[in-house]
Amino acid sequence: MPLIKINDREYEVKPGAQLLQTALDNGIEVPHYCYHPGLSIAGNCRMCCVEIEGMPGLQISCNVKIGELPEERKIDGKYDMVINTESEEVKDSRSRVLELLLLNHPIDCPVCDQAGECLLQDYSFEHGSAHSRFTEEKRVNPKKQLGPEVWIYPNRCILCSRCVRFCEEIVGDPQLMVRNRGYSSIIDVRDNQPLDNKLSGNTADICPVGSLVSNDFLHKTRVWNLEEEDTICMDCSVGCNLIVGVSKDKIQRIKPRLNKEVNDYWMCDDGRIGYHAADELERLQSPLIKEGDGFRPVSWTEVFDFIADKTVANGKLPPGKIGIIGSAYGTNEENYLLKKIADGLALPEGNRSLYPGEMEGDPIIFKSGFRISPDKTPNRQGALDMLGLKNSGLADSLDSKIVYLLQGGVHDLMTESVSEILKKSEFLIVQSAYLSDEAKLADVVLPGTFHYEKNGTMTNDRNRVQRVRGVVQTPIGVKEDWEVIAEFGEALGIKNFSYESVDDITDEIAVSVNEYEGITVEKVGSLGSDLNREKESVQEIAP
Amino acid sequence: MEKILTKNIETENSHRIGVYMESGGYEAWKKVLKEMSPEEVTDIVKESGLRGRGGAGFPAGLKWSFVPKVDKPKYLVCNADESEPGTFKDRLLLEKDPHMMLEGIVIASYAIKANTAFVYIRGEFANQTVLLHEAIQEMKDKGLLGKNILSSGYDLEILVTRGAGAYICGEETALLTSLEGKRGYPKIKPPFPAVEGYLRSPTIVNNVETLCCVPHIISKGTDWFKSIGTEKSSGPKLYCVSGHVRNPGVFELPMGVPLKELIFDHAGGILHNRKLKAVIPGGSSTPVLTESEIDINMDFDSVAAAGSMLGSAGIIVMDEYTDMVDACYNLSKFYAHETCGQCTPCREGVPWMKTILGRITNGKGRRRDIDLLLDICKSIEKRTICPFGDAAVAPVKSYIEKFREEFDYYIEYKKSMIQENVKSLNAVN
Repeated sequence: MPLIKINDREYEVKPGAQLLQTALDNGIEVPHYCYHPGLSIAGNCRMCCVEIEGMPGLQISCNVKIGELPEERKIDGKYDMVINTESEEVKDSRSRVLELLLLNHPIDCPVCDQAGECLLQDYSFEHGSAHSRFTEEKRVNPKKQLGPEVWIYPNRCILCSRCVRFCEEIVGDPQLMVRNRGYSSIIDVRDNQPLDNKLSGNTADICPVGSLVSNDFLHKTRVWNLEEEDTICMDCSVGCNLIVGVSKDKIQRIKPRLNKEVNDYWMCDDGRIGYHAADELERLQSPLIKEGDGFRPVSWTEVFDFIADKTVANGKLPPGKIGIIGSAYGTNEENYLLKKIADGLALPEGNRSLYPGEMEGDPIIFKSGFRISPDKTPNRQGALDMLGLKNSGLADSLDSKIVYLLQGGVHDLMTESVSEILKKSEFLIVQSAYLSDEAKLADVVLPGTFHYEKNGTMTNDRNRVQRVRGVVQTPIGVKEDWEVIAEFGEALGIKNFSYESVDDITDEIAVSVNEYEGITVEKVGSLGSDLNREKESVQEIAP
Repeated sequence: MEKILTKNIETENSHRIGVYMESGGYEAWKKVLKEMSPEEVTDIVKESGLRGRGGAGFPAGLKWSFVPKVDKPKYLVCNADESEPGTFKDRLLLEKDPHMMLEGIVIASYAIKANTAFVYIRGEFANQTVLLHEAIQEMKDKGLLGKNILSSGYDLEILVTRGAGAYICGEETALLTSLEGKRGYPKIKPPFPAVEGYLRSPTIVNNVETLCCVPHIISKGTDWFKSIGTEKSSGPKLYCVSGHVRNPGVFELPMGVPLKELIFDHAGGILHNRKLKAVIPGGSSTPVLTESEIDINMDFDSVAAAGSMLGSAGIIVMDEYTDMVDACYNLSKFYAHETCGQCTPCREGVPWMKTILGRITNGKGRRRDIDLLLDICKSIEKRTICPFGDAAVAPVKSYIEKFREEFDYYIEYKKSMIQENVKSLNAVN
C-alpha cells in the first residue's frame, strides 16, 4: 500500500489511486471544475493543480495516479508521494486560473440559478480577487434552450466539457459538442438537433457553474431557500436515489444522489420531472361514500364505521369473500399491512393480488449501463414479496363480494378487464390520492398519498431495499397510506395494528418476512440494502 | 557539405520512384527486410543520435523503444502537418522527394512492428498530397509496400489523412485525436502516445525530416551520421531562412552550423544592406534573439543555452526597420486565432494578450499594460495540456524583455518608435 503525505499528514492509499479523488475523500479541499468522478479525465480547467515533490512545476492532480516507489527511491525513506495542496505557488495558480475564468463571465449572480451552489462563486470567494484587470470588451453569446430540460447561458460557461463528456460517455449519444475554436468555443447541440436524450437533465446538475441550467427549475427559487431531503425515485422500478429540493412545502427540483449500486451519479428526465404528475391532480381530502351517482364526503370515523357495518356481518367476517389488492406503487410497509389483514382473515391465495399488472417492454440501457425500466411501478418486487405472491395482476377468479384496492400511484392505468373484475364486487373500497377511474367504481374511497408524501421502504427490481422518505406534507385531511390500512385492519376487527411510526413496521418486516430478515431501518440506511437473495437473471451490461 | 536530404531536389522528376531508386533509394528498405530485426533497426537509430526534427528534439530511437510489447496493433504516424510560421522544410521534402520520407516511414514502421502507417499531411498541401498518393502507388507497384513485402512476411499499408487547417493539429496528441476523426484537441499525458496513442494503441509520431534521415542511417551507418553535426545533435539539418534576407530558402547544412553563417553567407545577408535587428531561430514559437545574441551555433543545445530553441529551425530575420511591437502583435494574433480553446489559461489568456497588444499598437496602451502582459504570460506558461501555451507566450515575453523601449515608446507617445526613426532616416537621406 503506497504511503503518501498531503500537507504534512500521512495517508495510506490503494495502489493506482487517483490523487485528486484521494484528497477529496480525505476531506482535503482541492478546487476543481472539469474533474467529475463519473466521467473521464479532461484536465482542461487547470484548477486542481498541486505541488508534488520531485515533479517539475505544478501538476493537475486529476491526472496523477499514485503508485508505489521502489524502496531506495522513497521520499524521506518512506513516502511514495509528497503533495502540497496549499503552497503559495498552488494558491497563486488557483487565483490566476480564476481570474482567467472570470474575464468574460457576466457576473450575473443575482439572476443566476446556480448562485449559492456555484463553484465559481465559492472558489472566487476563497481564492479569487475582488477586482478584475480585464478592461476589454467581454465575449457575449445569447442564451439558448438546448432541449426540453436544459438551457445554456454561454457567457457563464467555463468550457470544462463535463456536459460534452457526459453525453459521450454516459448517454452514448454525443448530442453536445464544443463548437468553434479557441476563444470562440461554445457548447452547442450537434447538427441543430435538440438535447433530448432521456438523461439530459444531468448535464445541468454536473455543470459546475450556471451555464447549463434546468428548464424545470429556471428562475423558480433561490437555492438557499431549498430544504433538501433524501428519498428515492418512484417513477420506475430502478429506484434511483434522489435529493429533493423543497420550499414552502412544494417540490422545487429533483436531483440524483450518488449510489454506486443503483444509479451512480445520474437519474433520468422522466424521474426528474415526474413529480409534476401531481400538479393537476385534484386531491381527495376526505373519505367518500357513494351516494346515488355521486359521492358524499364523510369523516374518517364515519367511513370506518360504515366499512365495519358493511363487511362484518353478524360480528363475523365471511372468509373467502374478501379480496385484498396491494399496489406496486405502495411501500413494503403498506403491502405488508395488507398481507397482515389477509392473513388475519385467513384469505386463500386467490383472494390476494397485486395491482397494476406487469408492464411489458424493453429497458432503455445507456452506454454507462444506466437503465430505465419499462416497469413504471417503483415497488413491484417488494409488494410481491410482502403479499407472498409470484405474479402481478388481478386474478380473474377475484370474485369476492368485498374488495379492497390500494391504488398507490397517480397514473391512469385502468383497462377494461380490470374494470370488469372490479365491477363484479358488491362492495369496493379504493384507496387513492385522487378520484381515479378505479375509485369512480368504488362504494368507498379512502384518500391516499402521492409518492413524495410516502414513508417506508421499497424493493427495486434488483432486490435492493431502499428507504422512501416523505419530502412534502400530506394535504390536510389525508393520512399516510399505512395508517389508513392499519385503521382498515382494525375496522375489520384484526389486532396488532398499533404502530408508532412506519419504522416499526419496517423493523417488523425484518423479523417476519423471510428474505427481509435483518433488513432493519438501520440496515437500509440512506443507501439501501440488498435482499438475502440470489441475484437471478439480472442482465449484465458491459460498460 | 555533401547534400543528403536534398541531394535529389535539383533533378528532374525527383518525386518519381525511378529517380529515387537510381540514386540508391529503397536499398536501405531492402537491407532492413533482408538482414535486420526490428530491434536492430531501433538500436541503430538510437545509436545514431538522431533527434526529432519537429521541434522538441527528442531522440527518435529512444522514442521507438518506448513502444510496449503488448498485444495491440501499433501505428506509425508521419507528422506532415508543417504549419509553424517560418517553417517550410517538410514541404520541400514532400514536394521533391516523397520517396525518401516513405522509405523512412516503412523502416520506422518495421522497427516498431506497425502494420499500418499514416501520413497526416497539412490540408493546405493539396498538390503535395496528390504527389504523395502517386508515390505510394509507385511503391506498391514495385512491391515495396503492401502484403508480404519482398517475400519477407512483413505487411504494411500507408494511409494518407489531410488536416483541416488547424495549427494545433501539428502537436502530436492533437494530431492523433484529429486522426481518430475527433476535434483536434491535445490529450493529457500520461499516457504518452508511444503507450496509448491512436485508438489507444501504441503510436509513434515522427516528423517528415526525422523519417527522411532514417534510410541514410541504415545505408551509411551510425558513424557516418554522427560524423555530421555536433556530438549531441548529429546529422544533417534543413534550415528555413525567411524574412529580411537577400536569398531566403531552405538550406541543408550540418547540425550546429553558426547562425551568422546561415544568415550572411547562405541566405545572402540582410536586404538593402540594412542592419540586422532580431532573429527568431526556430519558428515563431521560440523566443527572439537580438543582434548581439546571434553568435551561436544552430544545434539543440547551443540555441537552448542562448535562451531560445532550435525548434523547427524556421529562422525569421528582422531588419532594423522592423516594428517589434507590431511584430509581436502580429504573432499574438496568430496564436489567439489558433488556440484550441481547451485549457483555461490558453483560451482566455492568449486572446487577452492579443487584445492588449492591439490596443497598444492602436495608440491606446496604458502604462500598466506591459506588466500586465508579462503577468498574463506567467498565468499561461507551463499551465496547459500541450506546449501551445508556452509557444504563445514565448514571443510576447521575449519581445518585451528585449525590446522594452519600443513598447514603452508606443504607450508614451501613442505611435511607433520605429516609424518615427524611419521618417527621420528618410529625411536625412
